[in-house]
Amino acid sequence: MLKYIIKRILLLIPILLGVSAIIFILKTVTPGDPARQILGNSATEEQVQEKREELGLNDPVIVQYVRYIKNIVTKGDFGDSYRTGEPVLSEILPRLRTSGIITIGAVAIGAIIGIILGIISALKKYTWVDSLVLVISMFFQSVPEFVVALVLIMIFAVNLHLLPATGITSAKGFILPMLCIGLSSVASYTRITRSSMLEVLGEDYIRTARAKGQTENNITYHHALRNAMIPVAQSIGTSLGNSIGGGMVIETVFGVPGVGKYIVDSITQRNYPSVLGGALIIAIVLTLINLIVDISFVLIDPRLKTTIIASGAKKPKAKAA
Amino acid sequence: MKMKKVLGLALASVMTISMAAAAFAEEGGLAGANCDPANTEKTEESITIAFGSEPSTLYGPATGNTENESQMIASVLTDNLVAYNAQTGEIEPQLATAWEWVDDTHCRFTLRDDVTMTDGSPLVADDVVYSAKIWRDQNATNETGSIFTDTADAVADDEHTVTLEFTSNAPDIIRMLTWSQYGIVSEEEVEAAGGLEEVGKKPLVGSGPYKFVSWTNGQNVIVERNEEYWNPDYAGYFKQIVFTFTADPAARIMAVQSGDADVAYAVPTAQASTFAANDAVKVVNYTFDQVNHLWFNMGENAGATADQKVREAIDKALDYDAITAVGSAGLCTPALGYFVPGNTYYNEVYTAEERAVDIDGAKALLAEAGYADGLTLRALGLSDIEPVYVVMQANLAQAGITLELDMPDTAQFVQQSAGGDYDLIVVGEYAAARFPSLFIFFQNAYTFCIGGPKWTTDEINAQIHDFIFEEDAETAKELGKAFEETMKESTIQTNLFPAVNSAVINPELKGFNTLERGFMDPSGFYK
Amino acid sequence: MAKMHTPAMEKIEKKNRKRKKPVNSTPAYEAWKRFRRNKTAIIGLVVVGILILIAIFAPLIAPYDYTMQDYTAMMQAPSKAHLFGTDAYGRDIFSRVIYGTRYSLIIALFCTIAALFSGGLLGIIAGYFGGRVDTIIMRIMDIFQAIPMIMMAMCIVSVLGNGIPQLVAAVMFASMPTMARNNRAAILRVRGSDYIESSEAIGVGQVEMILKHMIPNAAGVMIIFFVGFLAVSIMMMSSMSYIGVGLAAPTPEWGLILNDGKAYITSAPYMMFFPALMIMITCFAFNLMGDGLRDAFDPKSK
Repeated sequence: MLKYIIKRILLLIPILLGVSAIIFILKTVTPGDPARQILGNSATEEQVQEKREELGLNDPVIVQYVRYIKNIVTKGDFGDSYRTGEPVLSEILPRLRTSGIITIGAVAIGAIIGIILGIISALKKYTWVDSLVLVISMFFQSVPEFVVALVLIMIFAVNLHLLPATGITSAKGFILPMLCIGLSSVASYTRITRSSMLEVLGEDYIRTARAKGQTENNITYHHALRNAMIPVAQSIGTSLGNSIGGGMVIETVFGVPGVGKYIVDSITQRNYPSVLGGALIIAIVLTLINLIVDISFVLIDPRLKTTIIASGAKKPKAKAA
Repeated sequence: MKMKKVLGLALASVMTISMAAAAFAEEGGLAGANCDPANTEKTEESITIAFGSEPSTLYGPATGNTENESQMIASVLTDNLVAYNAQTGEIEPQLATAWEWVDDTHCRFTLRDDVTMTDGSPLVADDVVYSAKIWRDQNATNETGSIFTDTADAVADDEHTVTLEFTSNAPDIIRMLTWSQYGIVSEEEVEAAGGLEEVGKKPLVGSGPYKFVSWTNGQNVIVERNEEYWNPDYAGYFKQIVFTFTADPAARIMAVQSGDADVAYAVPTAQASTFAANDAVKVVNYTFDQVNHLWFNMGENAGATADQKVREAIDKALDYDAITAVGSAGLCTPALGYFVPGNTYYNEVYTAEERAVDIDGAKALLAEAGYADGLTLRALGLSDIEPVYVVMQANLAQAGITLELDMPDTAQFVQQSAGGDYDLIVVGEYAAARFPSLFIFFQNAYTFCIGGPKWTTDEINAQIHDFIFEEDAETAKELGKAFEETMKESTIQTNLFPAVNSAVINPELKGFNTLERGFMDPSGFYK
Repeated sequence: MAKMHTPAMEKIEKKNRKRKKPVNSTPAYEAWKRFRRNKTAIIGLVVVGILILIAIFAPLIAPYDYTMQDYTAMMQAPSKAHLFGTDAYGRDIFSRVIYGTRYSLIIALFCTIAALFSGGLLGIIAGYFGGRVDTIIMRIMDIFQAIPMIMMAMCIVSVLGNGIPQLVAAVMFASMPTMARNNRAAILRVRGSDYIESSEAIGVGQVEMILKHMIPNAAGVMIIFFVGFLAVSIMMMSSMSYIGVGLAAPTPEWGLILNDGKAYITSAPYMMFFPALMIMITCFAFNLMGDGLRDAFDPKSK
């Protein structure tokens, strides 16, 4: 077990180096001169050259990359925002909390609705109920999240005055963003629950239980559900990580000060160090969360070791938006 | 009992007023700014003002930034030597009780002796001297510094008298000092905030009606009423002002509709106008002394627009009626001169016929210039007049010009506009009076705005100078006309339509006042 | 047991008789038969067919030029003259949405093909060669996977600038890991089967093997991802248009039309309704189709 965990942690190193390389490449192809960006247009050419020298922009690319990695590892330096001059790391850390809360809420909403719909459609397989569930869950997968968001704002904020339209000054502000992100993931949970339920219901021990004369309810809820939930739980675990950076659009619509909005704002402000530094931090956090999720699953059920290690493919398809 | 009656009466009158205002707005008129009597009440309430973009600094003069949002927020934190009364058009005392010209370039100000700054220390002449040095030294390449020479002096004559040296005693130079970037701060405050670099992030400076509380990046700026404010005539109705930043104007309006915000500022006029008949909100549209102009890049980095034929072709291809209809939501007519009709210096240099669309003429000119096969140009713009660019894009497409649009946030716009990477830009110039910085887009020393600034001639400079410094207003008007003719002949810029500012606000809100350039005054609101 | 003659039995017998006829029983045909039975999938297919027709015949269907601005007819509610109303520039929304079908579908198709040719190909190579090649490719994909798809796409576009090629490139890079994974899994499944092993034994060349044997047999699963990804890329484009990155005005892509209309959501909701409806219908159709395909090609995996 310990060996497995150590192996997983060691695997992180090449991944993180690779991610930082991608970000670094994007950084080097970014338009505009970083030195001039920092100094502004009123700076003279000499000042810009001086700043370039100071930033090490005249060094060979490989030297710059090594320094980039060194700064990250030794100083936690992911670059400074052009806009505020503050380190990107210290700007993004408080936002991770906000995004984290929304993600947990959204995954909970999506999973609960998805699991319920999935169970219903598995129990009523190939009936109109099954089709209806498919259509409902697919509806939320087919409407752009921000349209759902704007419609919900219209209903709950503009017309009913129940919830705030933007910002999260109170706990109420979290409700709509969570709901929007949650609804869009319902379809995938429904699908996983349904197929896993169908599979389990066909297994021998269920037949045995049935033969032993147990009630259908007892079979469904005690035997089938518990076993069918394993893949669902795994997918919940992985989407916890993946959704944190995926809320860019919803965070922007609702004016939520999370990491997604930070990236979007930085894009509109052409604040490239913040965009790329932010993306790198988010990638690192995601990778760590996925690692923790995987390890905790293995600790709970060592049989899962093979499936997780053999197939990163178990990760659900990354969602658009 | 009696109390209730009074309250009921007050409520009824509030409702009538707001209904009247709504009715006015329904007619689609230009209304709403500077028409309410002043507030006299203090409450514990808070107001939320939703801006479209977050400023990069809250004390622009320190870094030479003049973003709109930054100026509006700064205007409640600091006071100026003098103030402008929008109702009377007079310059009034603020921190200075009196001022007189000592000679052609020196003006002496007498300061109030009852003003305290944020740190509790009294306002003294040295504070003005310190502030003037910031205006001069940190702003050499922008308009703030344009009224001072590099060596301009600021001398404290005694504790409450200060003499400032200007470039000239141009007629309207003192009026410029009413602009929000000329707020007075003290050196101690700036040092306490961490120096000039830091003061933009934590502007606990000045003697204004509100004090800075916090700035949470990406979220809001909060200011609080200054309970020790020196001016007894001013009563801040709101204890707290929260400025929020939401890029999407639709989201800003929805925030007002839902009660989250009280003011959605800088909404495209066409968008605001669709709410005219909506009782849940009030629409404020107003013009101010500014025409939106289209400027061509004619500077060192200029591309095709360096060629006058291309500029003329653009001029001919544009549909000014459509641009105006979309840009002002039908509230204005196309501009026929550089100034706004009603301005003292207004001249009609174009006829309506000259503004007619002439696609064939445009194409012929482009062919002559060697662009028969088409041409791609890049335009830089601010999102609240994005619709205008979209119309221009369609107009120019007919003549074979592909227009690429770039609409960054305000801070980035200001940065980029100085860079010369773009071919076209729509910027209005605030031309209420003959400020010494008027026609700043032609003045080489200043970086703002592509097009004009990097391209000028001695003749043009002379014409501008004569116009600004002429003592007689009638003669000035004639001189102004001559200059406008020059611009027209060489197609240096083209006039689009009088700028309209629009906001969607809580219908209960009164006291929408404006500062210079049509900026909203956040401190004047009350219910 | 005596033969029963119920209508149901007759049906079964008919079917059995039909089956006895020599039919072309390729996997594709079997899949099609399964697909055909799936009503919701057929609805999806029909809708997609209609959308393709709309895209092809857009100039015949659209009553106006989609770029034509008419400031005498701005913001008109839906009427006979303007079925879906007009936008803030007096452009006919119906015409824009019709042309939007063309742009949105084609761009989505480009994105999907690009994704298939990059990530998909890598996945096939990894799956076929296995061993070290597989490890290297998939570890690289792990790296790409670490950045959320939409964030990756936005970062790339924000650096490269707006435009269709940039957008396609961004979507391609962002979707590479998912595409690689899925295609690798598809190939791995085929690889295990007997006929591949026997072909290998008789010495079929590697390229030929991939092209002639593996891809056709894994095609079913690949088509599922292909159709599914069309919906994903349409959604991704519209999200990016909302943020203001990706495509630039006046391209009549649905996301951009939607974004134009968003400003008037409270005062003129029809401006947003119709493009949103089109996005929804299209993604819905692709998703239904994808679901049907999954049942058809891969009955076990659903």
